[in-house]
Amino acid sequence: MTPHRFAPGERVRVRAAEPPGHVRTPHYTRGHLGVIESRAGSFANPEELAYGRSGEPSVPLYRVRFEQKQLWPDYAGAPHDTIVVDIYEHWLEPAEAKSRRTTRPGTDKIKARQRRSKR
Amino acid sequence: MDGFTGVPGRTPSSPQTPSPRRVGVVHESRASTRRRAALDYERMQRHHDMGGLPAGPIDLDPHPHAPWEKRVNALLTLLARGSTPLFTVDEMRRAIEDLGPAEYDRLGYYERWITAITRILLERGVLTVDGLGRKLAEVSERRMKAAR
Repeated sequence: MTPHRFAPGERVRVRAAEPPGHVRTPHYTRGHLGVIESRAGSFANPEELAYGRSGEPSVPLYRVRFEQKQLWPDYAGAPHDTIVVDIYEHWLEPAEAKSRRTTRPGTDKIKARQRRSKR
Repeated sequence: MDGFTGVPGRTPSSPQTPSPRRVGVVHESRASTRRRAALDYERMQRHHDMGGLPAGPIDLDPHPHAPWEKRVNALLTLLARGSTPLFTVDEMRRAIEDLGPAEYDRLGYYERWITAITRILLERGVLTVDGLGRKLAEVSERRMKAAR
């Protein structure tokens, strides 16, 4: 079993990637900050299994908790509602990491514009 | 793990607005070449991954399954979940997702299943295009005769 890189309570960011094939990371979580709720075992990589390969080595899986309000800016439910999503380790990075490559196309320009307008 | 029959990550109570990120992607592709636009399209949110997108009300009433639907369910169990599975449910999901948005919406739930099962069995060489075609024609003819 592949050892887990993250521990419960740790803050993580979901990679803002958009690979073209079969993945298990819901689109609405990508690029967002979450907290490791628990470790959920280690499984053959479904993104490989989906194409008839073995999926080995296995990939650690986590339950990651998100603030609903953070995922949906106009969320109308209770302010501290959360959602827990199963996410595989290769989709997660430490919350501090701010790699340019993990930013979704288009967001750089939008963020730069927002920064400019704040000044 | 999310169950195969469930809709992973769907949050029906979520507000129905696309994220500003997607608007950004569309905006970028408009200003770029056709090829670039095609690449951007490939990278966008895939059709089945619809958690949080606008949708109508969900019919939660239980309804009876047609015999053919039960047969499709049994087929998948035999093919993908036995002691010597021919393929995995992961491949099944991939094949369903690869139907493309139009087919995905046009086909019913178990129609998507049997279409995906067929494709995988063809890919795996369990069925041949010619063999399957002849058998389908035979069944079709039998049904036509029975209907007369």
